[in-house]
Amino acid sequence: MAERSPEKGDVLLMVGTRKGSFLYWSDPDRKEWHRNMSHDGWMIHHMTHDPRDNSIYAATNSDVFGAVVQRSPDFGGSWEQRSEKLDFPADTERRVRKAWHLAPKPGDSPGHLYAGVERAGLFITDDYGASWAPVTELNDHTHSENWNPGGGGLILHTIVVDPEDPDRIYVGISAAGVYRSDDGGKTWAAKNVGVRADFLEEKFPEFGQCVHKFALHPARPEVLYQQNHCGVYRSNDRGDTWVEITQGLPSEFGFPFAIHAHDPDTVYVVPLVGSENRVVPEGKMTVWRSRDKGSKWEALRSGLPDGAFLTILREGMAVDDCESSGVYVGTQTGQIFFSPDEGENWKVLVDFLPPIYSVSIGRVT
Amino acid sequence: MSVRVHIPSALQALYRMQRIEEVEAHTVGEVATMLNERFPGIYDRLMEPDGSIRRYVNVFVEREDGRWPGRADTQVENGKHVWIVPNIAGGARP
Repeated sequence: MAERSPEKGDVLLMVGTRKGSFLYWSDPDRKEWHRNMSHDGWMIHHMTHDPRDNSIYAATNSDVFGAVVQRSPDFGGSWEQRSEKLDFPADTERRVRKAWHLAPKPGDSPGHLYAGVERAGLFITDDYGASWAPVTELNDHTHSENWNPGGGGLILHTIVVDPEDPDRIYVGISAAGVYRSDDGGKTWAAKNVGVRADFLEEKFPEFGQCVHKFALHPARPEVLYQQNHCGVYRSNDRGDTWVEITQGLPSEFGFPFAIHAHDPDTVYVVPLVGSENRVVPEGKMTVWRSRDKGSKWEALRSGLPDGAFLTILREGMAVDDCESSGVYVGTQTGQIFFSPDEGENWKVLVDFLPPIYSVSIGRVT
Repeated sequence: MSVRVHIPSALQALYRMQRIEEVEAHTVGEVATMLNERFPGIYDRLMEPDGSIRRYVNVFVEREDGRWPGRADTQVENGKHVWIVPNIAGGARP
């Protein structure tokens, strides 16, 4: 991988691992990639790019020193790590143990960002991550004392802001489900109607569902998709109700979910055998794609390995917005599979990384 | 009241610190506060919001009669050393 700095129009591939972060960049041909690495020894649960000022933010974690959201103004050349007050108030017993997800707040001002954390909570910064404040209306929601942890802990792992209305915010909490605010975070309501929770006595509770990842497409923000512990779902009404679209997939269980950059009807999942065996079925690494909002699914495995009992975590898939949209999948065994043609053909882009926690995409502006 | 604080390597790298930093402080809690003035953010790496030392952070304080584990309110003596030591646990995870 030759050396050159990121340039306007480059694709940024941000990879968070168990042992540090790796940043790759390429022109839109995506044939020659360049790399740097940061955060030696730290766990990186997620990274995001803010195109307004080309900042990169990383959710970095240490079992000893806690959660630190770091910002790089120069594509990983240097990092700012003040990250003060990313914790619950001292008079509570709740503590932030890890930062799991970061999302720029839409608007004209860079430096405004949301963070989702474990123990499940939402925080916001307006100074590029130097200091944080809790979104108490969600963190102290009347349901919050009855939220139960999923396999990864009690975590707020997904934040989606409606690009047409920045006051409409969605969060995903395991295992509590999807919550939505329509007023900039002042009030929140559970949005899980139609989503199963087979592990509970009551199969369709108001909350308690184990959402693994959800997404919307900016061209059609009223439509949401989610990969859940118990199936794949679509909502046509901003999460008010959900319909299951699992039929045709080899398993209802999986973690990541991605939507094609240019076609809001085309979506991707990576099913795993199930909760008790979190590897791809039959050892065949396969990405599944639907071209029609989840009515029919097709297996994509050209170039992907057999005899590969791989695990892909909730942040482990991303798409780019190049003319021929690229799809990227990172595994817990350190491979990144890349398709430059919407999933038709795949190759190993990178191998031998530490366990991959997250794969994110940006474009240099 | 000057004390010499031994910084673990993870924090040296994160905040671009020296292996030993010298600060003016009377207690372990003040050591964290004074370090934070020069290295903003480090207080939150060492201390909980209630002012206690983080669960997996150990602080050892040199006294006339030896080296002892400290709490946030433990006094530090002029010219002595303080060691910040992360908990070491191995084997369960690579």
